[in-house]
Amino acid sequence: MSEVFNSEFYSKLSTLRMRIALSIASGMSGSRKSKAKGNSVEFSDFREYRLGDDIRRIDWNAYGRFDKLFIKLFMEEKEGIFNVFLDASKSMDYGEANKGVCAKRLAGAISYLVLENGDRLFLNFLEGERIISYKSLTGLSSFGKVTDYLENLKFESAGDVYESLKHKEFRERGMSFLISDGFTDNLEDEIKFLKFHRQEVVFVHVLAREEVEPDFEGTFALVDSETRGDLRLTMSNSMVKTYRKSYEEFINRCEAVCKKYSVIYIPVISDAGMESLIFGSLSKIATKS
Amino acid sequence: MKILNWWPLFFLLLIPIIIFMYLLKQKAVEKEVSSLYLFREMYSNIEANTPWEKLKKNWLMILQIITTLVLIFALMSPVLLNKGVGADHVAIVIDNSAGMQASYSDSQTRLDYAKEQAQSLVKGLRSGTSVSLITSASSATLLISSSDDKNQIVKKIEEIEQTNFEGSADAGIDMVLSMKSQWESLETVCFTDTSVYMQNLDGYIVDTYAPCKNVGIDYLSHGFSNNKLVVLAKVSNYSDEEVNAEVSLYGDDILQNIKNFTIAANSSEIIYFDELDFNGNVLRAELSGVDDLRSDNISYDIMSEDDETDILLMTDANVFLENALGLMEGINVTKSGDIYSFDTFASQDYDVYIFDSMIPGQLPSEGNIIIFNAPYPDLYSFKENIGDVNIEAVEHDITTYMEGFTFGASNVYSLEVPFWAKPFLTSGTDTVAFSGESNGQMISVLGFDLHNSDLALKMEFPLMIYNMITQFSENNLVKDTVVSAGNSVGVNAQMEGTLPKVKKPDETESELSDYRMNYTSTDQLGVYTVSQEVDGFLQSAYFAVNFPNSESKVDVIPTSLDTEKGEEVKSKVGGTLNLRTLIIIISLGLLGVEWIAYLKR
Repeated sequence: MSEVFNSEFYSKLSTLRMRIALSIASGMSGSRKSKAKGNSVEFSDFREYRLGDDIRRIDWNAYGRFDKLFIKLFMEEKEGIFNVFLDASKSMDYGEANKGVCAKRLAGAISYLVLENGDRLFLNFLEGERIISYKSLTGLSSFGKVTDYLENLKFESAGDVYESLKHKEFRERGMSFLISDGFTDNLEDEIKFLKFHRQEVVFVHVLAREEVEPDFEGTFALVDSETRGDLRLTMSNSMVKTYRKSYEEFINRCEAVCKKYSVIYIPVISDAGMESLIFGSLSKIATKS
Repeated sequence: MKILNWWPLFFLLLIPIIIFMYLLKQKAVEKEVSSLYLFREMYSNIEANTPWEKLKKNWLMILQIITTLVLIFALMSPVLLNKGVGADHVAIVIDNSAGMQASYSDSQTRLDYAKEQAQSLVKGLRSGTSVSLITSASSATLLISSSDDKNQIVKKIEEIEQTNFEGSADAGIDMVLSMKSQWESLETVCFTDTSVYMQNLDGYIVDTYAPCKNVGIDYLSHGFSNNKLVVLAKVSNYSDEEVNAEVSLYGDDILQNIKNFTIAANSSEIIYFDELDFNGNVLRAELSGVDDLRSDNISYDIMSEDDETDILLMTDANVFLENALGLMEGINVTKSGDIYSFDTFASQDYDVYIFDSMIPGQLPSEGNIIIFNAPYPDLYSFKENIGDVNIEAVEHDITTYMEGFTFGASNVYSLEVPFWAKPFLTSGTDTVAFSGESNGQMISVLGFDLHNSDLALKMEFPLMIYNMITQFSENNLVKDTVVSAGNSVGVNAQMEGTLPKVKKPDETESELSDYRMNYTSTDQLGVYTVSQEVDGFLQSAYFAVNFPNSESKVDVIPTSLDTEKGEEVKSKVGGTLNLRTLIIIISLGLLGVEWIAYLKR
């Protein structure tokens, strides 16, 4: 799997400076501005003094000018909690430009961003009905572990991502990246589940070129790589058109679900170049500031 | 629309085979895909489509099935029937008279065109329609009676030969009329270039007339002037344009003279060739130049040695006989009342001797003899005088056209009929006149005096005398020297010789079945030779058969074609329109569509 994180990946990664838009109010102290007002040195706002406030924070200069007691509010900086859920089912191991490789690179890039920003990263592999969750990682020094985990991941499992996702235990609000091909009827349940656990969700929808534009003609017994189920089908010009129509409906459905639950939807075709993958796809999650 | 063949329905068995082969063709190859999720969705989309859209998926197969059905339909020979060929029986009358030799187009004669159209008509008839095939010229010939074997009919039509006979389709129409009652529904289709009256028969006329130019020799004749031969040819221009022509005259195939002349449109010209020294047998005039009817460009004439009949009439005074003989042409009559000087006359070898109430001691041994009211016991005898009687004509060559004729006579003798003779006048059971041939002489005897009867006052009298004389004067092998094709020629051979033979212009020779008969097989144009061997000597005579003049008028638009008489006239067989070609073109189109669909797939 050395081709997953090659020199090109690292060279692109080193230029990646992006803050992920995530507002959080809980978690351990960190580098992320939190919605909570706290003890950091960064000024946030004023408000009138109320009984019980720490009198050390009264702005005496303001009292001098307005003859009222104002409290100085300071931003509390916290670390963000980031979950990366990578669909490890067999269907991800497909395509000449392999979907799995693409998904691993994206997971790697997201992890890099998270660690680089000083946030906390939870890496989760969704394998059939079970989930493999690694210990939380912080700091860029942990990135090596991330690449190790990812490189060792094999797409072999079969089963529904939702069944696997349900085993995840969330402690705090945070942001979850779901990297999957979305071939499930439970996408909405998955998103609802994450939303229920106070997660801001990013759905990275990875598909292979062959799935977008099937390039075979004739009569085939198609075999599902995961379930081994088969389907007899004659692919003709008109059938390809029907497939395209189904594909578009599928994408529209995914988009609609994401929109409904304010999920950031990032469609990715696995043959996209590294630069397009990292800068193009992930730009949607960068902060505007 | 009618279907001519039903057997191609057998090929419907191909349809399940095509479907089966289609199923066999779809051999599935196993292919692994990431997930069937989208393919299953695609399937549900197909199912949501209308049945028609489902069919579209297999439209290559459907096209193949449609193409097969269309081809089967083409094999079934569907035809569109127009009015006129709905009947169970079709009578086809084809005019093959001489005029049908004229050109219809550059490559076809009118008969060729008629045959082509008739064959097309037969091919287009629905199965089971019976056909009678009749050719019509001078007479009608039934070639096929009520057959539904199309191949046989088409073959028979192909075999129809052009004749040189004068005639039209009328004889054929008459034959159809006589046969009409055999069939419940009858359509008559008549192919002709001349006017024809369909006589209330259902059907139509196919007009084979086409405008054309024709110049022909109407007749050729000869005579002598100052012992030199003079030949006359009448040449007619039947076209609407003035024509320059050239006539060559041949005597026994040796060119005698050539004349150039101009004939105005629709007129005739008499061409004379005089001062000729030719003394042979056959004269032939030939018109050069190309026109639309070649057969009438040649005409023949035969120069016979002796054309006139010499008659010796031995009578005291018989004005009736003299008048009757005076009406006849081509005879020289010598009259004498002196029976004692008969021998002097007899030495001049007359063709016919007539003895009226007188008879010499010795009858001449050559020449034919007619005896009125005189016994000659060596040859025949008078039985008794039966007094005043009514006399009746009975069947005989002499009484031709006189059937039922009677007259009265007195002082009549009944005659003993010798074995070689046949009575031609009788009174009850008594024979009062007979005629027959004895030792090569024709002899007629009448047992009454013309003066004692009212025969000479009857209209039939000159006819009877004419019949006798013409029969008796026939001492040549052939009676006629020039006839039109189809007309008969009387052959008059001597009984002592062999049976006569006739050699046709194409050199085929046939022996006749009798010494005296009418030779009717004058179908070829040209010179015929009749020969007979008598006492070791070969005698021969010629007669010529020419193209019938009336058939030369080939550029006359048939009057029936303006439908004045209510006939339906077409220039083509319009009875059926065979759809096979159209359907095959459609199926080729379908194959093209299929091919394009296959490439686009």
